Amino acid sequence: MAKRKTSGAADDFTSWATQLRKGIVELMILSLVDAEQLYGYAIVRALKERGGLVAGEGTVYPVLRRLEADGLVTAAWSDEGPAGPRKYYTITAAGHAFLDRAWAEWDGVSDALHDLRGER
Amino acid sequence: MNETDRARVEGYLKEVRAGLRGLPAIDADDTLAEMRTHILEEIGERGDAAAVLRDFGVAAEVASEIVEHRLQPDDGPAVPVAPIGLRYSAWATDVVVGFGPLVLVPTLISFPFVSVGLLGEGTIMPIWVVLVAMVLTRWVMSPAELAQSSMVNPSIPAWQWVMLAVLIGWAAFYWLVLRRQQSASLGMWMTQLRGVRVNDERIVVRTRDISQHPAPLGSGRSRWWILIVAIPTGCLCILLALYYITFGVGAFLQPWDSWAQPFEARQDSERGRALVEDFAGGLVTGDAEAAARVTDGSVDAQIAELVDRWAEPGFRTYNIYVQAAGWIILSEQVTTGGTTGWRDSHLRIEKTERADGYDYIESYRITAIELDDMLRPDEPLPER
Repeated sequence: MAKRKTSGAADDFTSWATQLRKGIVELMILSLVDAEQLYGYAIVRALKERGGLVAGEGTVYPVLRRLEADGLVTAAWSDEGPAGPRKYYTITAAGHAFLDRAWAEWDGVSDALHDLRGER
Repeated sequence: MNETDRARVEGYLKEVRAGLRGLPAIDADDTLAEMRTHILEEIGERGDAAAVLRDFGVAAEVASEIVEHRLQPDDGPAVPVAPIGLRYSAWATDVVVGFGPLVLVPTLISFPFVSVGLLGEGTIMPIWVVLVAMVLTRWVMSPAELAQSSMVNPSIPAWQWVMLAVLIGWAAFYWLVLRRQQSASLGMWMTQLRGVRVNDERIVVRTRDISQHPAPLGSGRSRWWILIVAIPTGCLCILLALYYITFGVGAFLQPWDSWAQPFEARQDSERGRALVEDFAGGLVTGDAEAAARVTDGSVDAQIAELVDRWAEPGFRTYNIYVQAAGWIILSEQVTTGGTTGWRDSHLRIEKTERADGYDYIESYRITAIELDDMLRPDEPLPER
């Protein structure tokens, strides 16, 4: 069996970790706006503090657009920002329902993984 | 924030806007306003505009992700491509609007009520016809053929070149910028379609399928009334385009080379021309009897009038133009009242054949002369 190069393995892991975090960024954003109304930069700051942002900050906006298009969040402009108007996001009822199911799914997966880890 | 940083931010946002081309303008404006606030606030906190923009991500990639997430999400169905009927309607309408003027405008200005009435010019040939004649006389016909045909190199006035450049520029601008880049052509507007670039592929979708904002009041109204004008105009453009193409191709297939011309037709043309040369020779010398010798005797009155006209002081010279179906035009150049022009006489040439033993004898005669008193401008006639 061919030996894997160390650098290749590191690249593979980084790629996997990136995909994993990308997959949960929607869940993280919904959880953040579930707690309070937030605007784009505030969401980015919160994600960075929790290590949830693995790509450029601008990549949050495609996700926000998608959540808005799917009706999981609504957005409204406010004039109060120091640098210009801010667009605040609020979770919808559909977003709540989706979030509850997503956490249930997450808990199930997390428990299964912990069980596997405990068996080692 | 200083002016340099401000310019850097605006440049970045301009790149993002370019990448969002294809999305409805209101959606793109919304996204950019949000990003601007984010970037400016972060610069206000961190102070380093370059670092903020770097952390924000490559502009083209950010825009591309927004578009991709909108049209082809990881979960959920992709936005469907617009139905082929709508796409074809948009395409056909845009062909008429973009390329139609190339055939319509040159044709329109050749109408007398436009060329004479509005522009104050004489007869204007459509520029495509003149271009074909120009190519023929400059690069296709040999000098001998050119001399025999009495054609001259046509000239195209500068304003017609400008008009052609404007029409070609309009077609390019309409098709490449309005339609392809901005989806702002009449056809796209009529059908409410947008062309969006996703992963280096351009797909055409309905605006309502990708718009995130409610459509303005009345925007959903049908615009199919545009087809009431577009369809007949398109049919006319097709006919004109076919006409010009046929004329252009056909002109190059004409038997300008003597070897390609049917022998009998060439012989008739040559003998008819020689006959009219003899006839004109009699008119120039004032010898009506000599002129009448090449006729069938039915045109003596016209010969007398021609002899008188050619004897006037204003007569300068004559030209012979062989036409189709047995007619030859004998044009006399005259100067009257300070104006030089041409008066045409249409001569009918008939060939008769009679048997003489084992031979056939062909004879050509002028059997009809139609005199035209109108003085036309000082330019040569096209020969057929």
